[in-house]
Formats: sequence, C-alpha cells, structure tokens
Amino acid sequence: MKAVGWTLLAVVAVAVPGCGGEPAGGGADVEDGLQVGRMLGAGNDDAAGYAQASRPRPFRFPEDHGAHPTFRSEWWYLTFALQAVAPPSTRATPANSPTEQEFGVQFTLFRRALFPDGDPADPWRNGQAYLAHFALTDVAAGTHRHAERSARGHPQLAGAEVADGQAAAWLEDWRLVMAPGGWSLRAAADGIAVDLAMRPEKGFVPQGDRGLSAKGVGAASHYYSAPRLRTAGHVEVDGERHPVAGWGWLDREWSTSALGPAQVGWDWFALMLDSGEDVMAFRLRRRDGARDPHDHGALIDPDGAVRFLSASDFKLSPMGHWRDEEGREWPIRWRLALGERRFEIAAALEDQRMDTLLTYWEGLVRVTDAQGRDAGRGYMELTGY
Amino acid sequence: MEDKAFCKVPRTLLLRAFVRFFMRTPWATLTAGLGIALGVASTAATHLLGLAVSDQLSALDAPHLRGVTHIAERADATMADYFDLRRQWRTGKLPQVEWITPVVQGQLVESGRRYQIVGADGFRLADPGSSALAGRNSVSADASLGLAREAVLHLADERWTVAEVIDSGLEDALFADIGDALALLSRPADHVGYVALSLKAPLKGARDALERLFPGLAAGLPADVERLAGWTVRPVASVRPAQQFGNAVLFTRGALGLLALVVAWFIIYQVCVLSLRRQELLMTRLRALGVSRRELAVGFLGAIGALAGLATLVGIFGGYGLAVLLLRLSMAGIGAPPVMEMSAAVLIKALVSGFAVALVGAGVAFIRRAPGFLGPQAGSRGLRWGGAVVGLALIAAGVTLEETGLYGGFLAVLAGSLVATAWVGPLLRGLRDAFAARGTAGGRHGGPEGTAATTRNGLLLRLALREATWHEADLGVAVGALILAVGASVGIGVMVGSFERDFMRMLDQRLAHDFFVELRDRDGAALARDLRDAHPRAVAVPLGERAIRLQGRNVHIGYGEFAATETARYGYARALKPDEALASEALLRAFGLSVGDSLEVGGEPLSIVHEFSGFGDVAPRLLIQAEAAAERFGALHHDRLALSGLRAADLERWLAHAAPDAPVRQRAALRAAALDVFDRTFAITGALTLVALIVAVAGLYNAMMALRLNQRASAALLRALGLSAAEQRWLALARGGALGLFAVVLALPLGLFIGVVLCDVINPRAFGWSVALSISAADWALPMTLGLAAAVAASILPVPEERA
Repeated sequence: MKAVGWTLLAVVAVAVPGCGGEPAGGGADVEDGLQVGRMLGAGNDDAAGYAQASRPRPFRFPEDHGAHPTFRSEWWYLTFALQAVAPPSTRATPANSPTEQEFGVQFTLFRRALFPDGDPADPWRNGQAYLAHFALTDVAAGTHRHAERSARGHPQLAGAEVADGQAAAWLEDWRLVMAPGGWSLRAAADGIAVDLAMRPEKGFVPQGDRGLSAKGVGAASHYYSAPRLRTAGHVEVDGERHPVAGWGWLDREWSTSALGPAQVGWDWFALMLDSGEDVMAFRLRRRDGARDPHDHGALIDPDGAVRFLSASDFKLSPMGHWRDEEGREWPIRWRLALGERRFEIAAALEDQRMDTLLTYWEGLVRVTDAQGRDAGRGYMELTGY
Repeated sequence: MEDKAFCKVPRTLLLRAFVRFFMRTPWATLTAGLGIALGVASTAATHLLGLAVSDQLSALDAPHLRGVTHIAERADATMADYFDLRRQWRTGKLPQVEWITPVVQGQLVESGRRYQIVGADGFRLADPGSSALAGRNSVSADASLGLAREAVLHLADERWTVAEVIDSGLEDALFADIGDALALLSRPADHVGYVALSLKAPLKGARDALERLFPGLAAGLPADVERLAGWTVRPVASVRPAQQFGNAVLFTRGALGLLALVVAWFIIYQVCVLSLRRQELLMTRLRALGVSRRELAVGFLGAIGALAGLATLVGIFGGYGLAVLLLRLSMAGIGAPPVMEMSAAVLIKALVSGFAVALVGAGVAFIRRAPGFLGPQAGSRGLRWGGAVVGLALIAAGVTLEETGLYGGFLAVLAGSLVATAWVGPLLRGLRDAFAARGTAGGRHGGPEGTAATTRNGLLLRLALREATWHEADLGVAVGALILAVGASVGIGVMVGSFERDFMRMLDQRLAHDFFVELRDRDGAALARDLRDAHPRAVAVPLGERAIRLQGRNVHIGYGEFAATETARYGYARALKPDEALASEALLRAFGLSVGDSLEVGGEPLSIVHEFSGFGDVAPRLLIQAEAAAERFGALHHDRLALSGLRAADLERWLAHAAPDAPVRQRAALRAAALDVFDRTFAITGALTLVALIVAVAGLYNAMMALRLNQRASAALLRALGLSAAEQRWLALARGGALGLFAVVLALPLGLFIGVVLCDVINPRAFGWSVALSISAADWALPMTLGLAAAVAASILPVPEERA
C-alpha cells in the first residue's frame, strides 16, 4: 500500500472536473501539498457505482496483475535496490561482480477511473486515466532524478491488460511486462533510463487479512506484494550505461475507498534484509498524533513464510530529519523495533523528494542492525509532510 | 586649475543654486514639471489602456487551444498518424515539442440548430486546466449558444450536460472531450482533424518581456516557424480567427502607445533643453566663480532629476486617472470597465520616461546646447542625410515586404515620423536664412512704399516670422512633437474616415433587405416558400451556413438562393452559377487566391467570380448556391431568412403563425448596432491620439514660454520703440500662428502617409481586409485646426513675470 497513490489519483480526479466528482477546491490541495485524509475523505463521496474491497480475496494470476477497472483506483508500484556490476570488459574486477556504485529505482503506474460506467470497448470513452512516476537515485553521484507522465486509458497510450498468459501495464513507452518466463521494465525520460529483467524469488504475498488491507473503518484495499525480485539489467544516466543487479519489490493494490479524514499522512517501508527476510510495514499518521490501530505489516521469512504484523508487533520511530528548502522536515532516519530486534533505517541520499503533481519523498534506504552492521537495503515513502 | 578653484565651492551649494533658480521661477518650473508629468501620464495611460484591451481579448478562451502554440496537419490524417507523431515526441525525437493533443472539429445540426463541435484530448497533465474538456457526456458551451450551466441537451441520441459556459471566440461552439466529440460527430475512433502542439518558443523570455513593457506589441511578432516531417505546421491563430483579430487589435493599440511614448520623450527632452537655456546666465556666473564644466553638469542634472522625480510621481497618478477616465468613456453603455492595476512594468516605464529620459535628455542637451562648456554642438548634416536614407529604406522595406508583417508597417510609420521631425530644425534654419536674405535685399534695394500702417504691420509680421524661425534650437523639438502628434492624428483620422465610409458602403449593400429572421427549429427554405405563397410580392431568401475544414483552415460556406438581387448585396451583378462562388477577402488572402482562380470544395471545383469585403469578419468565407452546397454536403438546413417587400405588420402576423419564437431584426436596428460597434472600436484610438496631441501642446507651450522669457529684453526694446500692448499680443499671435502653420503644413503629408500605410499595409496584414483610401476634409482639417489653435494658444497664454 502506498499512500501517495491514493493522493495522486484523487488529484488526477480533481484535475478532471465533472469526472472524478471531487468538489472544487481540490486544486488548492495540490498547491498545499499532501493532505491525504481530506482528499481521500472527499473522494469517498462518489464511490457509488464502483466495486468495494470489503472481504479477503483469493488472488489469481496472471489475471490480478492486470487492471481492475470496476474499482476506482489501482497501482503497480516497483522499487529496486541495485548495485552496478563490473561489465565483462573491466579487467580490474571480475565480470558481473558488484561494485560500490548503488542505484535506487522507482517506477509507479497509477490508474484512476474517471467515472464508473466507462465503455471498455470504446478506446476514447472508457473513462480510465493513468499517471506514472519514474525515478532514479544515483548514490555515488548524489543525485535523485525523476519524471512524470500522464495519459488517458487508450490502447495506444496507457493501460493494463492480460493476454496469452502474460500481463502488461504501460504508459506509452514506459512498460512493465509480467510474463511467466520473467518480468521486464523499460522506462526512459529526461536523461535517465532503465532496462531491467526481474524474476520473483518468493512468489506473491497477500497483505493484510488474506489480501484485504484495512486502512480505517470501511476503508480497505486489495493488496499483494512480490517482495524479492531478483533483478538484472541496465540503468542509464545522461548516456552512461551501467550494468546493474540487485533486488526489487512490487506492490499491487486496488480499491475504491482508502484513508479516512483523521489520517494526514503515511510512512511506508519495504526492506530486503541480508538475512533473506523481507519486511513491509507502514505507519498511518493521525491528526491527533495517536497511533493508528490500522497500522500493519508483514515479515516474510527466507523460505517465503509470511507472518502478519499488527500495530503492536512493531514500532517505527523517527530519529533524524532533513529540512528541504521550503522548510519541510522529512524524517529520513528511523528506528524499527520488530519484537526484540532493532534496526536503523537511513536514507541513502537526503533529497529523494518526488517533486511531481504532489510532493512526497520516496527513496532508497540502508538498513543496519543494532550493532551498526549493514543489514540490507529497502525503500521508504513519506507522505503528508 | 579649474578643479582646484572648484574645491572652494561645495557641491551642496551648487545644487542649492540650481534648486533656488527653479524656485525663483515657479511658473517656468511648474510648466517644465507639467511637461514631464504629462509625458509620464501619457505613457502610463496608454500602457494601462493597452493592458485593459489585452485582458479583454485574452478572456476569449477556447478550451481545446489553451496553451497551444501551433497546429499540425496532413492530408487524410488518422489517429495512427497522431500516435506516430506522439511516439516521436515521447522518445525525444521532437525536443521542441512540449506537449501534443489530437483535435476533432465538425458541425452538427440537430433540431434545426447548428453546433460547431470541437474535441481534444482533455487529459493533459501539462495543463490541468485544460482537462475541463474531459468528462462523460459533459460539454462546455460558447456563450453565443445562449445555454445555461447545467442545461441538458439531446444530441446524437445521447443526453449531454453543459458543464460550463465560456467566451471562446468560436460561435455556436460546443467543446467536449475527444471521445465525446467523436460520438457527437458520428466519426470513427481513428478520425483526427488536426494535431494541436505546444512548442517551446526559443525567444519566449524576450517576447514576454516585450509584452510586459509594451502591451500588444508581441502580438505583431511573427509566430515561430516549425517543421515536422510529413506535417504542415501553422501558428494556432490560423484556426482561431478571433485570436488573430485580437492580436491585430492589440498590436495596433500597442503601436499607438509607442507613438505616444515617442511624443512624450520628445517633450521631456524639450523641457530639458529649455531648462538649460533658461539657466545659461546662472551657469555663466558660476563658471566665472570657478565652477568646473563637469560640476555644472552634475548640478544641472541633479536639479533636473529632482524636478523629474516629482513630476514622474504626479504623472503616474495622473496617467492612472486618465486611463480610468478614457476606459470609462469608451465602455459607456457596454458594461462595467475592467479594474486597472498598476503593474511593475507601468512603473518602470513611467520612471524611465520621466526620470531617466529627463536625465539623459538633460545630459544630451548639456553636451549639445551649452556653448563653450563642453565642446562643439553635436549633429551634422551628414548624419541627418544618412538618417533620412536609412529611414526611407526602412519605409520601403516595411511597406513593400509582406513578410515584415505588422512590424514592417509600423516601422514605416515610425521611420516616416522620425525623418519628418529630424528635418524640422534644418527647415526652420532654411526659412530663417531665407527671411534674412529677403530682409537684406529689401534694405539694399528698397521696396515699394506702402502706407505707414501697412509698413508697421508688415514689419511686425516679418519680425514674428523671423522670431519663429530664429530660435529653431529652442523650438525644434517641440515643433517636431507637434508635427508627430498632428500627423498621427491626421493619419488615423484618414484611416478611420476611410474605414467608416467603406464600412457604411458595405452595410448599405448587405442590409438591402428590410428584415432578417433567425430560425431555430424550422427550415428557412420551406418557410420562404410558405411566405411567398402567403405574400406573393414578398422577397424571401433562405440562407444557411456550414463550417468546414479546407486545406487545414476553418472555412465558412454560406449557401442560399443567390439570384442577382442577392449577389448584389456583395457587390456582384449577376446570379451565381452552381460552380461559382463569391469569396471573402480574408479567404483569398488565406489561400493565396484571386478572382478567376478555382478552389476545390467537397471534391468539386468552384470558380471564384468575385471578391467581397467583410469588415469585422476575419473568418475565410465562401458563398455558393444552395444546390451546389447540397451536392457537396447533402441535406441542408437554412437557419436565416432575409426578407423585403413586406410590411412589418404583415411579417409579424405571418411569423406569429409560422415561426413564433424566431427573433426578427430590422435593417435600421442592425445598421445602428453595427455603427455603434464601429464607434466603440475606435473610441480608445481617438482618445489615445488626443492624449498625444495634449502632450504635444503642453510641450509647445513650454517652448513658447521659454522663448518669451528669453526675449524679454527685446520685448522691452520694442515697447520703448512704441509698440503697443495690442501690437505685442499680435506679434505673439503671429509668431505662434507661424509656428503652428509650419507644423501642420509638415504634418499633413506625414499624416497622409500614415493614413495610406494604415489603410493599404497595416489593415490587410492585421485583419485580412483592405480599406479603400478616401480622404475627406474632415479627416485632416480637425487635427490640423487643433494643432494650429494649440500653437496659437500656447503663444498667447499668459506668462507670469519671474525673476531668474
């Protein structure tokens, strides 16, 4: 689950008057930054006609990799922690061995239904809109670059479909393919590009209660993850092509209603530990500052066994902040208490803000254990600041 | 040596001496300040008025073209072509493109009502405002349709809701998301009309800066030319006649503002020259005390700067008030004038006009006019002749080269004006020399003896003429500004007069019928037959119109029964054949055609047999016989009836039965409304020229006053020689009259030149129509009389005695 998804899709609807049904004034929200609860509270008003996520769902693949247009919102969220590998021609280092150069990659495709009764057969009147974000963090260079695109649902523009056993989700030439033999992601814009091949190592993990992820009273989504994607390929920065390898994470989620009005933001973590374990955990931030009982997560063992984490099973505490030029304080260092175990989570680069339709922070993080030893990599998302 | 001597005179004392001079001559100081303040006020007022017009025009808002700079077209384009272009853009092969969207456009006639349907892809992140187009069965309606927000329409077997009502500048237009537009037009999903593009403008910053400083002038710049392989790319104005028209209006206003600015700068410079002249005695004394030339200049500039600063402040407020007043006058009876706000650009322009021009002017005047202070007088005959040659070359290029656009036309006007004013000094000197030679000749050989009175009056007249020409250095700039103001006034008067006469001729032709009925859900052809049956002597002509895309342009096809009586309304003497068409001047210009050429419409050629003018209508228009239209477009709908040979009461009775809700407009009412629009169109233009004239008069008064102050000694001598007070007044009047006559005589050819350029160069380039030049005495007599009267008034207005 990614809160920025809810927010962005609500904004997309606000930007299309007469379609999403959000009341006037949404534009001001865009300028004010993330006001997740208010935006999504407004969004709940026009849920009529859409399907609702209200009970656990047995996922079916590859069908559930495709779009669910009867729900209002949906996304495909991919994050990667990658390391440059020495190309075969480099003599000093053995071929394909990791180097010190680290990259983080984020690719997200959001879908939003503009109205519930679109005609799926009509390419121009199916009522679907798509928005995509693509970002690349080059830790050695100290840069975080990103791009944003949007298009309406149209076979030639943007969409998600399943055919012949393989799923594809795309916005023009940014394309994610999920085929039985392997997955691929291609995207390029503004001097950055990725061409990655992935393979899920641990299969798919239903989040929440068997795929029903509750975020509040009467607010829930269908949510599954592919937590450890073995990844190899290339990233390109200003024409310089780097062979890379590492791990990726896919989150898939769809719903019609999400956060409640009391929730103002969201801190989300997907961590891939060197022990072979994976952790997903999120913290909903409430207006009144109290812990939200709907916080939850999952601990995935190296063998793929999943343990649901309720709010009482973990604790996330901010340890250090970075102030951007607009004066916003972003908590970019955290402590995660997971039962008796303690982890420190720190941004690989301070400024990994996504200055897009909405401003949020999403970037590569490093994980260390209680003794300060390197314990893994992951991605963090901070919204509502 | 000088510097050492100056060390004994503190700088503050020097400045105080100059300030004290200003204070001891309050009337002269006041008029000098007034001259600067008027110049600033004129600058601020013209800028603010330009902004107001610009704001009104930019309120026209066609949603599918928001942010669009160009359109791209190709023959038989399909959506596949559009997606191919889009792929090129997305993969970075079209770096000049910021975003791209397909547009469909067409006409829908439903329940007897005509709609122009326009659709674009409403989902564009780059411009979220544009997404007002998106929405299922939701449309934006142009105000001309008379629909209310939330109104429900039943079109193409679907129910539609009007989401917003807008002033788009496109008549009868409904704007929808592209999918909805395709459904409304019953077009397939792969249909595309053209592709709208937003291209990065390489000189956008410069263009924006120009627009901020001179509202309207950027509209005259040529659009960025762009090439996309396989596509024809055109500036967006080609599909937006209202914008094209608006740009032209904006530009002409902007150019007029620039002319007023030039006059204002002339006056401010003149004030500096005269101020320096008045202070020559003071400066001579200070020099005698050992003050250096440089310090004199600093003191003089400081004093002028202080005066100019105060005057600029007054001018800014005055300009605002003047703009509000003029706008209120020009909008009387139309609606509430827009609220004007002072922008940074107005303040900068006002400060530059008042403060900076005064300082620079004072500096130039000091260098040029302070004899013996800083060197010889600048300026040379060679420079003047060189300037004249360059000016004439600019005029020739601007007038003859169509590619130079509106800027070429106005550059010609500006060059002509500057050349004319640059020669004021030499001409005055030439006249002075001629008088001197005549005087010497008369003295040497003796002239015919007259009566004592004649001789005395003749002497006085000669003295007045001599004085008028003797001080060309003092008066040259002021007279030049008056020539410019009167010339511009004459030129604009000639253009407006010619336009008005042409416009009225067109109205008389077009409004040959007594009544015009607008039909909604009834067909005009059937009603015309019905009326003829009921009233055999009545003439009823059904008319209709269809908007089509032709070679990438929006063209209006008017159809009807074009018998000889009907074509006469367009100045053509016989009935149209089915393969013939009458073409508007705008169409011929847009397509590069002339009478005798043919144009393919609907797969069949049409021979253009006559060109008609269409003032106020910038859309290309063709008129054809109804049967020719039916062949090309299928079933026709006539939504207007032109009627004559019928009494109003009979028409009323017949309409009550045949088309009870149809609005009827009488010829007289239509004519009055058209003329009212015409008058309003030129109201601000007239006001702006008047402002320039007032500024010029103030400048001339300043100059005359200084002249009279400088001549107090000679005036005293004349009084001692027995010249009466009445004779002295007569002398002043003759002097003013001579100068005024000199100015208006030079202004007349300049004005006629400006009029010709406006009618034959700028109007066709700006609006697509030319105006037949016809000069009436009223067009030039009034500004010339005003100029002459102003000069006379300036010469006889009282000048209080002051002790410098």
